[in-house]
Amino acid sequence: MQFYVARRLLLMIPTLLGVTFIVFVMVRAVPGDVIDLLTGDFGAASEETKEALRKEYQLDDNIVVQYVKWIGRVVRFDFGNSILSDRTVISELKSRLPVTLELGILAIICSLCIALPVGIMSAIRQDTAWDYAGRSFAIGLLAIPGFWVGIILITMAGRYFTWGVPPKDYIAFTDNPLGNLRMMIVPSMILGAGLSGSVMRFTRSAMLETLRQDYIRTAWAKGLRERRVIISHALRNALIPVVTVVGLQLPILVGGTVLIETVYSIPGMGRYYVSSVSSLDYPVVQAVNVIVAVVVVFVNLGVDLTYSILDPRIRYS
Amino acid sequence: MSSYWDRWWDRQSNRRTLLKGAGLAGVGAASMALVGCGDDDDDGGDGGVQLATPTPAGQATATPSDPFAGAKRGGTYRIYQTGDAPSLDPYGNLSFLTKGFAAYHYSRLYKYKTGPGILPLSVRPEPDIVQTAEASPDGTKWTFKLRQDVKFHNIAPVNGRQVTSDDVKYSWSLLTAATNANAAQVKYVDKVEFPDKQTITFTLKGPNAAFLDALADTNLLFIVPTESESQYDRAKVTIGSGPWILDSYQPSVKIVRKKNPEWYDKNVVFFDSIEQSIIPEYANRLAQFLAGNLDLSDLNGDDLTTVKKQLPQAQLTSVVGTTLSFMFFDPDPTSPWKDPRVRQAVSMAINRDDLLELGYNLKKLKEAGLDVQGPWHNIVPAGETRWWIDPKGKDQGDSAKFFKYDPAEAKKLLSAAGYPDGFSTVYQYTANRYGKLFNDIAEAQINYLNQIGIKTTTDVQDYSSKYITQTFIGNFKGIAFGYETPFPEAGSYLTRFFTEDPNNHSKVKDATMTKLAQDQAIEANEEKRRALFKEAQVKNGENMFYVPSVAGAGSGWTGHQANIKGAAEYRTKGYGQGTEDYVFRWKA
Repeated sequence: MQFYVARRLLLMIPTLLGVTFIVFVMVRAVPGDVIDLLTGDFGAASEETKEALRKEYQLDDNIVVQYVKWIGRVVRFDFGNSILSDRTVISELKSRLPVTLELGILAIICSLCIALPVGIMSAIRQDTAWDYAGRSFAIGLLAIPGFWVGIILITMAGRYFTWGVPPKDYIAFTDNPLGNLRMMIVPSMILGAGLSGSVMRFTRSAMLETLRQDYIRTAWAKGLRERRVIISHALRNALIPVVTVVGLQLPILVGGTVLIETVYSIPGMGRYYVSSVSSLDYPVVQAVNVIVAVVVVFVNLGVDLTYSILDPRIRYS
Repeated sequence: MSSYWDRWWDRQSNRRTLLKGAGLAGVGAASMALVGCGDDDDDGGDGGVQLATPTPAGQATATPSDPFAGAKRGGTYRIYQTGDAPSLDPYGNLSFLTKGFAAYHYSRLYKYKTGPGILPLSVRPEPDIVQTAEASPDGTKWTFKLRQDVKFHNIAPVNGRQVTSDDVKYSWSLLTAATNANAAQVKYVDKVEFPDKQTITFTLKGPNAAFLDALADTNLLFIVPTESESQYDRAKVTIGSGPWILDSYQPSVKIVRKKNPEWYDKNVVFFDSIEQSIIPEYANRLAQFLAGNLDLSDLNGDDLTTVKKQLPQAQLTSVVGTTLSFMFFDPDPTSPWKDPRVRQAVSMAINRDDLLELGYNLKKLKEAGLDVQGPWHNIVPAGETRWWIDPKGKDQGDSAKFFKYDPAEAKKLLSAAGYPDGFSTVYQYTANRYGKLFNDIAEAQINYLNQIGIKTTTDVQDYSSKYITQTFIGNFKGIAFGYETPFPEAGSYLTRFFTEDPNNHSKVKDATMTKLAQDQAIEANEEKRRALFKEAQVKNGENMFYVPSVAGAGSGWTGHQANIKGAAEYRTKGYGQGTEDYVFRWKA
């Protein structure tokens, strides 16, 4: 097990280096650059001014030199300063990352709260009205964009039930846990509902497959109660593909937070990322991508390790 | 001779006399006596703000002679902002969010004068931290004396010291630094001298009609303390001499500002604080306004009837837009656009009234009893009423016909230009920056072009990576549609469109237009300058170098809660609300 984990950790290094290099190159491959944006609209800047700015922000080196310098700083946890704000990227992320993590965790909890019961119910009542309703529900959740639901909910609240309007300003959990929950619950549910559709469908199919196994038939033959058969015998084994799906949804979740944070004025990493991408603020875009990549590879490792907990027959060596 | 500058100087001298006479009245009255300096009689304004004498609430009612009678001090003004300022350093970024942020905290030499009877787009410069101004007869040398009572905020390491010309000198060096893209905006200044701690002398290369506007422009010269050069970082610490002191800033959450008790004009600044929530999503802002959590919000035309119904006492104010939308053409000399008849055909192909209806729901709003307007842009935005001429009016002359919707005539023009069957081209715009109204009009124009035989392939561009960095500066093929930067001074439109400006989008090189653009920039006489503007608009109408559209020409709406006073009377243009509007508002 330890050898397996160590090997996976070592394999992360080339993966992350590859991701950082691709992101570094791609963000610079976009036509125009941050200097054009800084000077292109209002400012009637000359080429000399632009060159001076490129020099100031060390964008005049060739791309490989820039990358090597940047990665050298990143390994020391120095992501540099935002070109636009001149504030350190790490200080911005320090306040924003926990907000997005909280939103993400709440969204996953909401997702599982919806997906597991509906998925299980659909499986054990296959081809009944319950099943059709559950599957339609899942398709519906998959089909409706979360940001649209968010906008509609806010608009309706403003017009018909103003008590439902979200707090105007973000409330930190440490300042007021209940206020924080009031701020985060609706966006978490919207995000979670979006994720729950696919989790529900995987739960249903995994449960159906498990319910046809011999050991389940044996459990029924032993006269065990339905709840015991489903929860103790079937669900645990059915969860392995579900956990995989939940792990794979992390990048989708990050994408979802980008929009929902904007709609609900939540000061998370997604909103920061959007504004940085639209202004081509290279250091911020790169830093956020590195962090997301690190989180994704670690979550994937965590998912793999979870398999052995769910199914003791799985051993890593 | 009665030039604009002569009249300006006459008024300045008269007011200085008034100032001397009012010496016993103290600083407050003195400052108010100067308030009207930038005013002019021909804008329909009220000629200046009168004495400001706040009284306890309920004891008096505002009158023309005392607009602040009954004003109540205290409370928090709850407003919004759509995003974070990219930098808190006024010289750190060109974004309007940075400049708008700075305008709360930093003084300028001049600012814009707002007040009852002054339309937002007719505001004129008035002194901010300048006490007196003298201009040479030819308008090329300006000497300014700073007020003695202007202090920086009492924050270390500046600690509330007096603002001096050293600070102006340092600030000027930041504005004109090689890395400052806005340096080009003041290239007409030959030199600046600082003979003593209170005096600044600007020598211009030639007369410049917009010089005082440049000093009032929130994009340009903010006065920062010399200490910020080495003792602290302006991107992290905000120390200015404006009416508001930065209390706290939570990125992407809110900015809290407290009243500066040492601001030079102690008669105003009624709120104790301003809370500016950062709310990027319009639906959220509207909901917060309807729930009473915000004191003001921008409003889409579609929502006005709802707001009126839900908050019948809310104040709705509107202003005709200064955001100029226009179609522009690729500068390739072999393209069809080189023939003016093709450009005229493009203009005649679009039905401006229908586009206005599409964008602004004029009929519905009029039926709801709202005072809505729908003028057409010229090459100068419709909101710039001092300089704009109505394309439908007689001033436009014969070229008015090229603004009229006439697809049959447009087809004839195309045929005469050698395109009886039309031609194919690329139509480009950005759909991820300017909002639904712009996008709707952009899409509708495609149909109009197709109707006259201009077959378009649509290229919807990303704002950052393509539109603003390529198309906007003329690197494209075909026809493009976009918004122009809302310039604080109308002359900038002609300069951008028709001179060697790097952002001359279609790279128009027309000797007549270039001369008109250059002449208006140095014409000191307002009537003569207006004539130059008129001629430029007529000539552009004849040639359609740029085809003005109507996005941005309708009324832009703002809602205020019923208890906010001064909201309708004190409205500036540009980003200077912190100093030019909000210091005059209060909560009843």
